[in-house]
Amino acid sequence: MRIWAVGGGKGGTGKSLVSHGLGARLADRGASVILVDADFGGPNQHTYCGLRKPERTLGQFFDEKVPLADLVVETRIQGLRLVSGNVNAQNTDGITFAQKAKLFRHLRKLPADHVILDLGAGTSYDVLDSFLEADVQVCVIAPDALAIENVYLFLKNVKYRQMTRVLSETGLRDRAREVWKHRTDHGIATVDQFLDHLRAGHPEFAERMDGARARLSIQLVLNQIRDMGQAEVGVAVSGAIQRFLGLPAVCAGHVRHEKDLWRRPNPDTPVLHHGAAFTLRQDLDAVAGAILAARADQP
Amino acid sequence: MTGMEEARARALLEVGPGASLEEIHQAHQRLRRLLGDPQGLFLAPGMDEFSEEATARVLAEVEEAFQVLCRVHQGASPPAPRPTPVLEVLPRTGVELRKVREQMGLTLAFLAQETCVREDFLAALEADDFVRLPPVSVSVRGFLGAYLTALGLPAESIAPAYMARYEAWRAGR
Ligand SMILES: Nc1ncnc2c1ncn2[C@@H]1O[C@H](COP(=O)(O)OP(=O)(O)OP(=O)(O)O)[C@@H](O)[C@H]1O
Ligand SMILES: [Mg+2]
Repeated sequence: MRIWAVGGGKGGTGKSLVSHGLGARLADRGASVILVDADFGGPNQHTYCGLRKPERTLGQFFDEKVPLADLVVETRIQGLRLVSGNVNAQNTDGITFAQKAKLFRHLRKLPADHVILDLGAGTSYDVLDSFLEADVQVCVIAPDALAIENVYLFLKNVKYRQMTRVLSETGLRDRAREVWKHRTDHGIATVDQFLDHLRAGHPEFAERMDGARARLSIQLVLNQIRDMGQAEVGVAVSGAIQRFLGLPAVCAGHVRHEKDLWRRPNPDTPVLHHGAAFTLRQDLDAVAGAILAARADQP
Repeated sequence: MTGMEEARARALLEVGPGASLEEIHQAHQRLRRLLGDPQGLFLAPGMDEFSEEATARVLAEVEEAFQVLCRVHQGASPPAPRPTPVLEVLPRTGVELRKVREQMGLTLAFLAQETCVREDFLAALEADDFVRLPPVSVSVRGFLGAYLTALGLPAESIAPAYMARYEAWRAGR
């Protein structure tokens, strides 16, 4: 089973559409897929699936301790099932970090070939941790400067979170804090130099960092392009992530903007299942294929 | 002459092992265009990671990668014979180097092709215009070495003094 996390993008870039679309396309290829709406602030996967009122939601996992597997509902798309977000929550601040962390431990046990998490926007620790723990990391951008800067900031947070996690695992947190405090004495000016310093002094840290980095492989999806000339932006951004942030990233492809996306015959029709969404299906299928191919060599 | 490995050069230019010289040229041109455009959508000038220095460093890496790959492609063919200048004294400054090149009747454009070093970098070397060179010593040393070799000049006798001037200038900034 493989967990895909879709996150990183600024609000409105299309993370939910891409999560839904990847799920639907994988299901169409014959896989068993469970979509999990982990966007606590703005759950909307049920609407993309054409379910007006989800019978069960994640709220029951938190409030009533219902097992995650019992919250999985069928959708109208063969092979695609859904764990809906808590649409009727009054206040999601009530869900603690520990509760969210627990949720992610239960994901691995879900009966599916692929579990796709819509993480929503933001850089809270539970979002960063789920992104880091996923097997496939997907970031969605749109061809505009804000969306692009946002994904860099998100990935910078991912990088930082990864480092602090490895420091905790290796018991080096306090040591690292000391080094950072006296960084000028050590000739350290940047976070990268700080990392190099720690790596040189602590082989076990270096080894764990390498292991953690090797598991990271960011798949960038460029959404909402309006002409093919914009397709180049995806490759430019994935290149910049590699060169400027030092993180492994590839562009998995683009998804064209479809102005008639919501012109479905009725609200029970999943958004990608009407005629006007033809180009979206095509593009999302290519993206899903590219990601599967890129991950084929991974266990 | 440069320390960069072929695999890293390929990763930097994002070209596979089967890429033709033409494809390498195109990848290089594309990256230069993208990185050289301060209005570029994908740069985030607000972030330290995308500072002018960082951009210059990345550009220099791209140039170096391009050189490495050009050399890999040209490795098979022997260098064309070239008139070796008869010199009383070795040229030291950029102006003196330029004179030698002009005596040999070689244009900068031709040398740029020969060395795979950008023409404006070669011009900067000849003008001692260090600001216009990438702020990375190994790259400058690499460009200078390629330039001197292409002119048939003894790099080992000329480069150290030139680089010492460059380093002194950098230290004084
Ligand atoms: N390729 C596209 N063509 C047409 N409309 C799109 C496309 N991608 C996204 N949209 C529309 O843009 C809006 C925002 O998309 P979406 O909800 O998927 O973004 P998001 O990143 O999940 O936002 P949030 O951060 O608020 O969760 C939606 O109305 C969606 O249907
Ligand atoms: Mg969303």
